[in-house]
Amino acid sequence: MIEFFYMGKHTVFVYVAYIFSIVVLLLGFIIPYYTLKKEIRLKNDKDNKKK
Amino acid sequence: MNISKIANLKFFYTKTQRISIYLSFSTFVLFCIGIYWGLFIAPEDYLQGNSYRIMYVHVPAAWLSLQTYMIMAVTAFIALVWKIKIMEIISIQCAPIGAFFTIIALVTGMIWGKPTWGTYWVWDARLTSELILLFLYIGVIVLYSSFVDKRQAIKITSLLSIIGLINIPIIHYSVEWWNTLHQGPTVTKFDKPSAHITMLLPLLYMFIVFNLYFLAVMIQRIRLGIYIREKNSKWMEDLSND
Amino acid sequence: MINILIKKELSLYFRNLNNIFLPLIFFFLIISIFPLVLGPEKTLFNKIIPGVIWITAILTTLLTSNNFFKEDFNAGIIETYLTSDVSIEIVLFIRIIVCWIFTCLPIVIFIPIVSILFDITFQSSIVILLTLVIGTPILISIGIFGSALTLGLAKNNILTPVIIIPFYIPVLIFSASAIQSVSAGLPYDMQIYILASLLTLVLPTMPYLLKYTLEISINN
Repeated sequence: MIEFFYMGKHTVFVYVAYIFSIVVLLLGFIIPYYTLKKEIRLKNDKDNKKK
Repeated sequence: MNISKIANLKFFYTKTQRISIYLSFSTFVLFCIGIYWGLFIAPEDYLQGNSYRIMYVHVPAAWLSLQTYMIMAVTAFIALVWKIKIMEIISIQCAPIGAFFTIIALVTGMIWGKPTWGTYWVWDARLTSELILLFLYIGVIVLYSSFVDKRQAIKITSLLSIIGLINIPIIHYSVEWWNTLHQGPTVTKFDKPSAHITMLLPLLYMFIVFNLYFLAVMIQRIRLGIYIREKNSKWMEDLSND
Repeated sequence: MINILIKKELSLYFRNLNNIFLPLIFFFLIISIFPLVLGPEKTLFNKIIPGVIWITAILTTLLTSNNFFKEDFNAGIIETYLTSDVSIEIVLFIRIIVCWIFTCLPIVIFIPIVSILFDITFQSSIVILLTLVIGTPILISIGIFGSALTLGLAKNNILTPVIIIPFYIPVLIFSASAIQSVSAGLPYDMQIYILASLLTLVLPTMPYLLKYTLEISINN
């Protein structure tokens, strides 16, 4: 099983690079997604407070 | 004229609600397929062994970082000349996306450099140009956030993006000149491997997937931009009451 | 008409002599700091002096051109520029030239002293002079553009240099390369030609670009 994932002498480098890119790409998606949700929630809270 | 502009934003906001979910999900799946392809199916390289596989994230990220800047500058130009609101939103939202792509390109470039050439960083033409591109993105982001009046902010920042676009080929040419002068005619560091189609095909695929990712994130960010701009308008309030 | 403009600009600068001497003193101060931190070996300096001179030139032009529009903005004069019948592009062009005369020309004149301080050969000094004469107007123009971009911002902070320095990089590269080439005995004309072409690209278009930027910054 491990041989399948083995990437040669510099295995660590390959996986670190891929994981870093995946994390940053995910972050890039999550940040606007949750910011929008947060903005909507904040506005609804403000409206409800006014009422 | 005014009404059609608002209708433009509302149209976008309402129509993309479902599309964005499908797009984001399918991009994720296609991305996973691409990662698997690049890591396990593509053949081992004659010279670099398996570490060349970093190319499958490094190169598309670098291409996209440049492409995003071009989109940012072109939409900035359209926004300044024709004053179309959605173009303003697209332009400013390109900046953080582009900065992330540039960061990925730089860091994966560094990680690729260590096993291949023994050092994490070399001041070669491409990496240095990429670093300057990051500074250009940061400049746009910081300039925009310094203004309180966001309408003025977008105009000034659009101007900066456009001038930056003109500057990019000049910077690239001068950095390449500077680099060959100091290193002599050596092979440029991160040349794509020559010709073998089974190695190039996943690269092309990843480029397309990265573009889909760009689209998916762009739609999220445009929606965020529209919401922030129009949150007090009537149609947005009607929407949240539904 | 133009004579009046030139006289007015010159008188503005002469009124406050700090304008003339401070950039020059700043230049020498920064140049003098480098040996203090790098050690006094003359052989080291032969290698790095082009870079040192040019980085100092960048710092000087950045800090002085940053304030180009500040006073006028605070006094609310910029609206009068834009609405007067005088062609503002000519006014701005003259102002840029005069700014260069008072901030960079003293530096250029004192380059022989720099040569003495750092043991620079005569040929290298000539090339340093040449690159400074061609390059610093470009730097000043771009710096003034940066000042116009950040006009609306209240705080005078480090933002403008951060935005503008990437645009300085080509000028920096070609100038430093020219000076290094001449000390290695290699031809340097290509770098000079490229610098000259950058100058002809930037200097004539800058007044028009500045006018557009000012109109946006005045927030209509």
